[in-house]
Amino acid sequence: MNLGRNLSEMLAALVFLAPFLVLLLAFVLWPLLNAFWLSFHAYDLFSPPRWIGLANYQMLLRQGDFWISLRNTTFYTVGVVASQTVLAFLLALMMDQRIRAKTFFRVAFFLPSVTSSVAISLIFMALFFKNGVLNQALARLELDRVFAAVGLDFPVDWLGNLHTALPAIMAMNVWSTAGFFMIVFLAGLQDIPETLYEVARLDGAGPLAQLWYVTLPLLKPSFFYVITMGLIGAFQVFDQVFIMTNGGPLKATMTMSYLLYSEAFVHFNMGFACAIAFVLATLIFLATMLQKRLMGE
Amino acid sequence: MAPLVGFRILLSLVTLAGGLLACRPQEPDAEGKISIRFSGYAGNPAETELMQKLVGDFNRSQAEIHARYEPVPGAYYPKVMTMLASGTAPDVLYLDILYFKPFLAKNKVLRALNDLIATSSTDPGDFIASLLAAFSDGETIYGIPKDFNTLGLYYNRDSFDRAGIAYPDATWDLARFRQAAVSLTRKTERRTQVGFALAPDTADRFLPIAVMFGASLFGPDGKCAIASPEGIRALEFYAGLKLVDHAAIFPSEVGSSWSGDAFGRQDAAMAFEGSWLTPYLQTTFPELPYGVSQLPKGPAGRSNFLFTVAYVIPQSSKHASAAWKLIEYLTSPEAQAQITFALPSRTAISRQYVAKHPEYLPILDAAAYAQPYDFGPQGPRINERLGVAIQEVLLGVKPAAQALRDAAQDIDRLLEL
Repeated sequence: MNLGRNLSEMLAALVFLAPFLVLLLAFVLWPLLNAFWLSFHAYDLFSPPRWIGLANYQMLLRQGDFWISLRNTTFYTVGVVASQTVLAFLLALMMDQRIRAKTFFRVAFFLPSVTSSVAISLIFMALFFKNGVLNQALARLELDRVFAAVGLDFPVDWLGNLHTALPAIMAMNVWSTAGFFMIVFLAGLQDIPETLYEVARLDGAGPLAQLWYVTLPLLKPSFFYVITMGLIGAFQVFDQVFIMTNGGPLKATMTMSYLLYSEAFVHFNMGFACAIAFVLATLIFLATMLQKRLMGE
Repeated sequence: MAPLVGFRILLSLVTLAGGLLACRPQEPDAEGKISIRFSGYAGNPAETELMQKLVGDFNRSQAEIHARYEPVPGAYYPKVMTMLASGTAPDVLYLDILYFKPFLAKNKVLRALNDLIATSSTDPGDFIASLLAAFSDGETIYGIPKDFNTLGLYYNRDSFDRAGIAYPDATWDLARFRQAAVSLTRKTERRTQVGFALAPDTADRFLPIAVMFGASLFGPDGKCAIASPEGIRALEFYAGLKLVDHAAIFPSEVGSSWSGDAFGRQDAAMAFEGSWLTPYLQTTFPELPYGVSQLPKGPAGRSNFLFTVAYVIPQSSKHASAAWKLIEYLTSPEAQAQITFALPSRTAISRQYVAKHPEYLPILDAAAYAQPYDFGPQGPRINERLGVAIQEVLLGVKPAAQALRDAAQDIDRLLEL
């Protein structure tokens, strides 16, 4: 009786789960395996896939574009994850104080992360133009002389300049994601019992000591989450590049996802694109494992 | 207990079935007619509007066929290729001249049209021969050219008047053009206008200049010959307009996505564009006083390129004869007379058209000597690689000689694929 009941409950559970499981199998697992299989083939969508073994991966290592995209992606990820984590943490600390119009600021900081990245990209393009708002503001603040000192022409064509295009996209992304991670930190901060701070104060800890010995250790799970999600998001950056620069000027903003897209859907090297995808996935995996080890989770 | 379990399973099955039923696609409203689909890129509003109207007219004229127009905004070839590969491609498609050879090289993508042409009243001889040849492989015709363009020199008449320079005419050569670009460049406190809007990352504005200097993309041995002394001089001239003379801007510097727009906004007094710019100027910048002339001559004479798009039928189409009816209608003299963004591909209609709209005359005149913008099965990649070389020079990464030599080496490697 009991066994039969368990069995029928399991059956019912399976049937209820079926819609989700079917979708998962059809649209996630099967394509994943298929892509892995394709990464060992030459495939242009029209002729049947041809087995070429590891040739796609070998070509990847020889192709200059791959190394450029790897360099850009690494630079982007390190820069964006570091600055967005620090910025989000500082914002969360501020929002945790008793200040006026707290709700307004929280909403204001959070809003970019729920806005479409396409819309944000278009707005920032207007900011970054040579005659755009950013240059006008810099000129008004008389910062144009600083640019002359470091050898940049002013006004700067932010998205058209080899040295500023990637940092410009990075700055935009930090701005748009910091608000979301601020909320994560804020939740973590509010989870720390007030009594711990009281005890610390009784022991003579100043604000900095409280931050260092109470807040930071207890926020470790939040940091782990923020850095992991940040890494994954940054490694996969695509839409902003696609809209703002198309990987240019001269591949200065070509990230791995953008290279993958252009190989797959502009040049129809499907097998090669799948190989890039698996190298990217491996990199994300390794980076996450490394971070887990470093943070001692 | 047992009935309850049965009920639970039944309930979940019903839920599942309901979910599946809700996903069933809606039937199209074709009322028993043969339903065909037609896609082109939606780059130019004037063109999309005309296509919508023409397809509507076609549907009213047909008792048994219903065509649906599905313009594709944005990345057209990625979308078309994926649709072709997955067997969901429309029955009639736009195909750009640069993409014809790559499509032809693919396994059975394009349907030969000869049998359909033979049984219809369309006479291929009515079309401009070089355009039809651009979409043929020997005797086999794969596409009917819908219209064409060459590049013209668009100029701002106000700017010329202000600078006291005579408008460009047939005597203009590149030296004169350069001089004019310099004299037209003026900076005032409030706004800057330069002589020329320079597309930094596409090869199609540079290649005519290269040919004017006496260079050619491919040598007699079939290898890339763009790094010849003539080609290098041409690129030095082109890039020099900005780097040496400071008489040119990139459209992106002034917030435009293409040089026609920068010209319309009066950030540049001249631009090389096809007649697609004309309806854009008329609707977006109706006040702008502009003129069009042929591109200037170079040391080695005149040059221009034919930019054209054809209607093709993919092999996968199940209604090829219905699709052919639509193509016939879209390329008919009546339909072609309504084009505003290009020149009609029928010889007779394009002559009549220019007689009525003389501002398109320089575009038609250039067709006499223009070469098709077609670089073989690797054309899109070659085009892209040349664009990179131009950008390298314009951004000061490499001198012209080295940029072109590197590009030629890569292009030769592409040709071996």
